[in-house]
Amino acid sequence: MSTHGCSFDLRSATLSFADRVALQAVSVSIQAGERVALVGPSGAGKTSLLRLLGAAVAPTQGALLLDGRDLAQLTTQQLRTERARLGFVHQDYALVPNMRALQNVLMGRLGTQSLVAAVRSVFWPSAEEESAVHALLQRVGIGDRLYQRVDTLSGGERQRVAIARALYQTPGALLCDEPVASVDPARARDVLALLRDLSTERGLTLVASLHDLQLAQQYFDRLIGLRHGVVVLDGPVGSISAQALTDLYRMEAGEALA
Amino acid sequence: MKRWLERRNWPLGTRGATVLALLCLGALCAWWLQLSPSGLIPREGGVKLAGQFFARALTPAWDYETPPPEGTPPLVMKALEGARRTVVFAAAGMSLALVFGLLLGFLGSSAWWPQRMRTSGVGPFVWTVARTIMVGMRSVHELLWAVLFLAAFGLNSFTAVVAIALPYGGTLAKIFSEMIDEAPRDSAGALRQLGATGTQTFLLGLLPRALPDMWAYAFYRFECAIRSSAVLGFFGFETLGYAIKQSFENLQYGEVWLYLWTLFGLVVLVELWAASARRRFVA
Repeated sequence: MSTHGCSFDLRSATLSFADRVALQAVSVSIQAGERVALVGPSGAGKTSLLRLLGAAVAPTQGALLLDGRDLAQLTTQQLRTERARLGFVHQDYALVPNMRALQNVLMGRLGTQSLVAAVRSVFWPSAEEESAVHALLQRVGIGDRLYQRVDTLSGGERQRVAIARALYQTPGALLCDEPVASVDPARARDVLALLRDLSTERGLTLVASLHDLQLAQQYFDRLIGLRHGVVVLDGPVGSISAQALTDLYRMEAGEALA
Repeated sequence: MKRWLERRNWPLGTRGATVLALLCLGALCAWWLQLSPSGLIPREGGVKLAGQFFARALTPAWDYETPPPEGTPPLVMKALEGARRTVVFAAAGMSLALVFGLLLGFLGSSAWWPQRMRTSGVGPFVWTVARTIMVGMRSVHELLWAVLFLAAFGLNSFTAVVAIALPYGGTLAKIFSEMIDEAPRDSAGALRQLGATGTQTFLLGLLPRALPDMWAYAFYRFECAIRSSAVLGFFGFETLGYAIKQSFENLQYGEVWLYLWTLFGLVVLVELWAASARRRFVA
């Protein structure tokens, strides 16, 4: 179980699909425990970058080094172990809706369990497992929802279940795709404060994509700005000029119609 | 709207042309079969027979219409015993069909096979074999299976159970595999990403998403199995169909109606059971 944060070193990584290039030669280095917000207009490649960092996809060209190890050099089993250290909170939460919050959180450990152990744990959790999950749900503010089916929870509560599932992985990093895209402004601050506090108390590297620049500047230490799959700005929050941020979101001729 | 109209290549539009083609095909088939409206005019005595039969619908017999041999159980007991046997055959057939259905449904779904195994190695081979077996099982109707097995094994309970299990297993497998493949993949993707193996992802991330639908469908098939099991009685298995055939041949329509209402009651019971189970699963 790692208690130290993960460091990421993305070296000239390109991610291309059959019909388009999502990221173009992106080089980004993130230290353990850093809190990074990915900003930029829709379609700039924020989610693609998160998926690269989360080892969900491999770069078409270039390399990703996780704690200095090149993921391309790992065996399937080693890659599985590395993935288990990366907690990913999806934009749509990606929970199993017709199962309980408890069961969904328990699934966070699949990456380190055998099939039999996983099925046993999810369907017949031990008292220790239940109390561990309960503690995590309490930490994210929904301890009373332990036995509730996910499809009976509100959107905000589902997100917290997803965060708890990621924490149950005992990860070295939390990667969050648009964590506040579908919550109201007051709740957005709660969620970001929660993520920041979790990162501090557990030494987690935190990377999140955000639309709101103000929130990004308030809750994160460093901003990475993407535009058309290219990193156009990268630096500590204080060092980035207002002009650079305006330019990041400036529409180009013809873009408004697209 | 205008643009859409202008895009039509056919005078009637694609949909209109399809409907017209189906109507023409229907007419052609009727001609081949030499269907004529005169076929709908009942035979002599037919109207009388039908009248006698339907007249008893609301007044089923509660006791034998002709005195049975000494020691025969009461008619109502015979109907209930027939119902019990009908359910037992259906349940046995469905249990076996579920085993076939789940096994072949998994193997025949695209989701079971990870990307790399689908394009090379044993994956495509097993997938094709599973799909072929599924088609083979369900292309023969359960009554036809019963005829085949009766010829091979004679009249024993296993014959009826397997006759139901094979086509039902094939149908369940086809529908299950489709439900699994159409289930939302987001949770499976998330589990995969946190390091779960393919099998873990399938069983915990994908299958639970398809399970409520699979469950509801299995219940519906159980209802069908009860009807099939009853009809298998016409071959001599002692289900409700056997009793119906006997009484019908003896023109004891009151008894026939008691059996038919029992069958109706059975299907209603299964429907109620299915509905309560679905509520527990979905809500």
